[in-house]
Amino acid sequence: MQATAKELAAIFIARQINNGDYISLGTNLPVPAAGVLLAQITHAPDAKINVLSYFVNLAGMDSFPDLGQIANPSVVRWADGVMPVEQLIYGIRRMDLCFAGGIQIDRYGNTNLIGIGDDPQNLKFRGPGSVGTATVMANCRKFFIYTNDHSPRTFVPKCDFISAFGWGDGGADSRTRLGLPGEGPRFVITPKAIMDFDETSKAMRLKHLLPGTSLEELQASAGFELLVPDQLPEMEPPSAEELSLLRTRVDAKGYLRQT
Amino acid sequence: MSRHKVVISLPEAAAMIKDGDRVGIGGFVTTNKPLGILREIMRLRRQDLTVVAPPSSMEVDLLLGLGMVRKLITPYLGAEAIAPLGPFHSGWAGKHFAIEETDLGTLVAGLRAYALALPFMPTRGIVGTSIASLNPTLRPVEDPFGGPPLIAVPPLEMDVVLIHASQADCYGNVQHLGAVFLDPLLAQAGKKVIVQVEKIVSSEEIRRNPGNTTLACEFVDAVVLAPYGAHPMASQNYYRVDADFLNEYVRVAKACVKGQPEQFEEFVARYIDAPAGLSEYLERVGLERLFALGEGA
Repeated sequence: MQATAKELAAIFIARQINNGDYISLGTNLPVPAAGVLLAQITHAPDAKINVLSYFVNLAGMDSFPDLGQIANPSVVRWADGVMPVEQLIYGIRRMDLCFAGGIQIDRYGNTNLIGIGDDPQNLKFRGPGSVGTATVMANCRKFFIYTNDHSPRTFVPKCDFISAFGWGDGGADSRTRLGLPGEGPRFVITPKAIMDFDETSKAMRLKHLLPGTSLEELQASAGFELLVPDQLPEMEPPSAEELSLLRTRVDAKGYLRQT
Repeated sequence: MSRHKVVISLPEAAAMIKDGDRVGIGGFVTTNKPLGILREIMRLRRQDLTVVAPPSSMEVDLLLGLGMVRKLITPYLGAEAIAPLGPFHSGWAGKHFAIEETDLGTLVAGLRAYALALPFMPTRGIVGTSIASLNPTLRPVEDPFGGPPLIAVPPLEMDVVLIHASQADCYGNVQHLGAVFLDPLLAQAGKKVIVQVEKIVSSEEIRRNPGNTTLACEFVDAVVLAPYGAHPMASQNYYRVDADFLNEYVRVAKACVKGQPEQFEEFVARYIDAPAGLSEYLERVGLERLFALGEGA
């Protein structure tokens, strides 16, 4: 079976992780979780992974039970330490990588988990809330944005509300001006494409198309004009080992193989 | 004179929560939720509550659905991939209850400000986001050392904090035997703290490993025995989350939000109003189902 787009997205994430990185995994982001776990059992056995209160190392795991439930006390079996949740906030200065989701994501990498609508007292849709993303994304070294829904509903010109600040209204100094220590969003990853940000404007820019999506289709999938570079290289295909480990040890339940 | 014992019953615990109280709820998403005490309060339909909760789930959505909450302060309400969002949270926000927007860092700052008796705690975590403008209790504040402005978070105080943990002795020394989540910080910001536990153990058992004590009796006003009291949520070391129960709840709650309240009313009658106490509730859930949740906990 060919790698699915979600599997490729997870493999892309795994390849960005350096051995020794301190990574915090939030709730309900199975594809990023798969990427982090794949890195851990391949080239990053010393990556330090924090899930809620649990500080875990999964290099020796046989098979992860359920990517959909990473925030589950059963991860305690791989925990080196169990610490209060506020440790996540106090540990931010050492945190290398974290992930943000969003019911809206705008062209400057701001994300919205708060809600959709003009009137905060009468929202069209109330989101789950910011979780820890506001504080963590402000401070951690870098973060990736992930969503399963690459559509104009999610990819909007401007978020109705911002729960985690990306590059604001654009510009390379938009974070330092506010005194935000973190380096900001690095990649936006979906089952259709992988995107980064233009170095100067910090507008979202296509990096790799994932299989099954054409450039025309992708451009119609966002409510704003995505920058497209002249050279658009394909993502380096997954090795047999990456794919096999992903399917047998990280995602035995096949979460990433569902369409 | 002998030491004061703080063990009380679930109805006695529920009587400590009054209409209009600010209530803190411990645990995290679908783990360690004090549902034994909460169901008692739900049965009494306490009104006008302000709920303060770290990442929360069905227990808070149900309080919203019963019309008991005036204001909600939580950074998250959901159940990961187990079940969709809280139907009342996503459907009724702003209409039947107000939300004081926050995130985890802001919540921690407010709890620390209260615990340290400070007028505010500065945070940079929400600079640039909409949280500061959506939450009228937050104010911009100058950095006296010349950096860019910060946000001042006022003390987050609670009349009563409800926590679920593994075990305690009769004097109120509590051991989670696992993650404490934000429970100690919540307890330090609560005027009264009630802890429900799976087991009440001897003082000798607690003193065998006093380093395991997560809330010393200084921070605990009452202990309630509540085996399986976190159901349908997980209790660390004891049982997993009952995902089927959560999905059943989401189904009936969604229908209620869409104007078909009958099944939600049946659910409330069956699991909240009719059972005379925790053991009758657990009988209704069923022993076989409860025991099966112990596998892989």
